[in-house]
Amino acid sequence: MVYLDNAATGFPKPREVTAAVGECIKKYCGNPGRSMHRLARIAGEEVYAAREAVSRFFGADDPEEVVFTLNATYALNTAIKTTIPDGGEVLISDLEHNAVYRPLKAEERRRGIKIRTFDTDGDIETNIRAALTADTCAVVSTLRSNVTGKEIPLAVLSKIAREKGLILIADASQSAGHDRIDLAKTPCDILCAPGHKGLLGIQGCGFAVFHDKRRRDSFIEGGSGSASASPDMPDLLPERFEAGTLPTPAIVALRHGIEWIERYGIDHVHDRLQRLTEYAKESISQISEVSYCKGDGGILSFRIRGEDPSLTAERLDRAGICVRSGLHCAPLAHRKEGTLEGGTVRIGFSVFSREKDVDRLLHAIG
Amino acid sequence: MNESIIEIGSMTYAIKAKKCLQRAGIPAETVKTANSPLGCVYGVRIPYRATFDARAVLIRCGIEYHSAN
Repeated sequence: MVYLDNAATGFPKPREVTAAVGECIKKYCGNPGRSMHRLARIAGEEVYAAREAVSRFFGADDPEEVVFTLNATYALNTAIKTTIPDGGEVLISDLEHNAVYRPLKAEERRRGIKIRTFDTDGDIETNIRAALTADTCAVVSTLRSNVTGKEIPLAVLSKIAREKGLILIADASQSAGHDRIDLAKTPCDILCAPGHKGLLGIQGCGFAVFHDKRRRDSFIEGGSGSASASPDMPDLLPERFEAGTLPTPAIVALRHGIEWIERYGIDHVHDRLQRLTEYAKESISQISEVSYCKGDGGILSFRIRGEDPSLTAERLDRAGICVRSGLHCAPLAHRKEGTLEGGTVRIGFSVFSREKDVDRLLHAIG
Repeated sequence: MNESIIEIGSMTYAIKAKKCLQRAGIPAETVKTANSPLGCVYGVRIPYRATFDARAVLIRCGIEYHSAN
């Protein structure tokens, strides 16, 4: 089997991650921040260690900035709905995933938020500046498209946001663990990412790094493990946004995934993915039946002339190759690329992908 | 009285406090009490003799505490 769907979820996981999850489940998975017996204390320490790992890896100031969520979608919803003011004008890229677009559309209906888009073709900085108005209060942008792999540099977003005093919420779903992100050098207000893709953790955990220290209304209310006599969520992060039991095994996996990448080297990961994508793009483009092929940074989409992408994906699955077809929950990107009807077949590489995986794909495409 | 308990708040900040104190050479372990007017509170247990120094360490680390017994 050749797994090329890492943009959906990473597979396989490093041995260290699976071992850490197994150890957690077998030996110490009490409820962190609720009970105080030995198993819960150890679980609590492991959760804190994961906060430290995320904070260190992304250049945040403190582990307490790290709020764990179910996934990146939940993190983005939390960020958007607790930060964008009523009636605020928000600028997004023309490639956004529904994890950004849908919450903003919902807030458009509920609170009168206005949405504008910037063009990601050509010079992005010029395009962002051209799209800004006097009413723009925030930019919410992916750092890398989940359809084409197009990068929207955090350095550019950060520079403009700081210059104009704009809120910046960054979706690092396809960048985290693949591209170097350092909030100390290129800050944003909130960085959101999943634990189960490039960071090599398992499904069930994402996070938002609240780098801006603003005070916000709580997003979801419930048990927080402390100050329980109060009817309100705790004032301070991270517990303010962490209601209910945390996904401890997934958080443990995230920490060990990050530490694996730190040992391997993030720049090494980035270069490897870039080389694989270039190889795939060059090779697939040469197939005469391929009508569309675009990719960068570990992600590539293509279509075969006259064949529905879902049928291409089925054919590849029968050949033992795992890819994803369709709109990838990113209709804006497909609208921009002219592939809204039927979508594309998408390849997502990981640090474990090999050139021979691409060769097998080429053979199966025929 | 050999020990002192400093009430901090959430588990996250209690662990942060523990680490700050340990780095400053003050032995500390996390505890949980339900004595606060707000209900359950996490804190740190330290040697009584270190209470004064511990408060100073926590202030330097930017950790607010509710009370020290």
